[in-house]
Amino acid sequence: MQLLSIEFAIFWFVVFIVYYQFTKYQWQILLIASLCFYFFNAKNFPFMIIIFSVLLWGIGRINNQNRRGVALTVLIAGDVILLAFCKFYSGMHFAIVRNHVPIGLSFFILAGIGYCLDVHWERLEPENNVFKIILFLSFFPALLQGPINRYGKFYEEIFRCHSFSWENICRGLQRVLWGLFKKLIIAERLINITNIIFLNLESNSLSVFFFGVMCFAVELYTDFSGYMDIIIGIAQTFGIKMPENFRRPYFALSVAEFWRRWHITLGAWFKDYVMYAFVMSLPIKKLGKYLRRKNKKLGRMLPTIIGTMVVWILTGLWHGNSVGYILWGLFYGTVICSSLCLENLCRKNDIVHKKSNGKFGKIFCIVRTWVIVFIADMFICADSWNGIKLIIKKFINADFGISSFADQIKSFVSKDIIWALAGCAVLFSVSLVEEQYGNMLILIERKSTLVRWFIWYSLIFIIFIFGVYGTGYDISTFLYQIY
Amino acid sequence: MQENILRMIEEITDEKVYSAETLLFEEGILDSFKVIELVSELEDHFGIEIDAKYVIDENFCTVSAIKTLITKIKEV
Repeated sequence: MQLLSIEFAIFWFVVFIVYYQFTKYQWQILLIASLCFYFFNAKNFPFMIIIFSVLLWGIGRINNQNRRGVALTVLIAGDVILLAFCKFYSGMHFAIVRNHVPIGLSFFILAGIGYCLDVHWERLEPENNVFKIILFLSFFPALLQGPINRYGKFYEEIFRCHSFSWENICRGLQRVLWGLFKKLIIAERLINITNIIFLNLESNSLSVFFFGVMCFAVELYTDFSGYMDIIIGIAQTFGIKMPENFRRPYFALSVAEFWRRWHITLGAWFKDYVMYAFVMSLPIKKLGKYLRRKNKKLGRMLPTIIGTMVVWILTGLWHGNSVGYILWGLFYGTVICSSLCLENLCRKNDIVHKKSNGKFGKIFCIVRTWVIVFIADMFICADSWNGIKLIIKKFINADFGISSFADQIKSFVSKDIIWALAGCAVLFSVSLVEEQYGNMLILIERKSTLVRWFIWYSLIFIIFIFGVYGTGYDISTFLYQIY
Repeated sequence: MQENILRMIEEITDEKVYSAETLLFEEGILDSFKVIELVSELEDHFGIEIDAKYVIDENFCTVSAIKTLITKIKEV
């Protein structure tokens, strides 16, 4: 059952009706609905999420700190092996494994490990009710590709009574519409272009490849953030507030800020459970102390740099096992560490940095971030080692093909690019307004009824008329579903 | 203690912290990298060990929160 399907819409509607009919049993209804959704989708491992939840519950219930620590270590090691196996195997036989890897595996594993670590570090009371943990991991809007929930916040949101609220339902549906706009108008149009470009890496010139990378960057953003808008909207119709996963990343002034605005819950997870845990571990602390005695600044910075590199290598591996993803992680790690080292130098010499240099300084920083993100995306687009070698070879041979760029683009670009560009213009304008004045949905709410209805009806018509769906189209699955 | 913490943050970040209740993350004064540097400074200065379990945004969101954390660790 795909998220963008009639079956899912009916499923959502039925759950919605039952949910508000029996307000005393809301979380139980969501649990049954989530398990049904999971069983519909998980063809080969229908009990995986239940087994994992029971394990988490059991570990949380161990009173002895040392024993719990051992059990937790075993669980994390097992999860890492399982994830590594699935990623490696899927890299080798992607088409076969896609149907065998348990859905949402890497998302619910991270959420589960987070729960266990919070209990172990006494940030959280262990949960007595195993069914609540099952719901935490399987909550159907977040199951396929996040956001990665934290149990403490999730508990406050989901296990209270949610009375019927028109405001929540309207806002939720508006958010779903906005997500559909991103997915069906922009992402689905761009995927047709990027598929053609990256399938013919050899015959296309570098300029076409760069164009493809830019399309891919926009496609990835609209696909993933569109999905997030849809599921946050769905959850809101149940009165549940999900954590935001995007905050207009393409307005970030630095790469580090970009990653605080992009896939926020994954970044926060790696920061809290990997980076801090690694840097605060005994060997790294000892190293830091030793170095601080020799050179204070170096001793303070080196643990941060080591931690950052470790996190980025792991983030790359989490996304995929190909050379492209590993280089992508290394590239980001290197850029962020370099910026940390250069930060003081830039400040001292008043080189354009952060918020210090007004409008032009900000534009410079934003464009600089785009360039770095596009370079990083090249590793993913080239994908394999052979692809990367091919691109390097074209660089060396200066095969940019600028003069033939227009002709090459013409051969595969259809009306898709026009609708995608128009969609991007709308998206950019909305993002710009949100960056300046806050949430667009709330801004629209303040307008007169006529204006509001005009905006929402226009959006519905645009999606219906210009969206990619229906006979003859095969809506691709959301990109992050494969992670 | 508060004065010392303020001084350390200013030294690490080059940013002025005006009050103990200033929201350090929201104001862009601290981020995860700066938190790690601050932890090592706090450990050296107050002679304490800050375990990974204490390093969460809630414990570093204001100077007051940092002060409360140090007091708590000293008491343990």
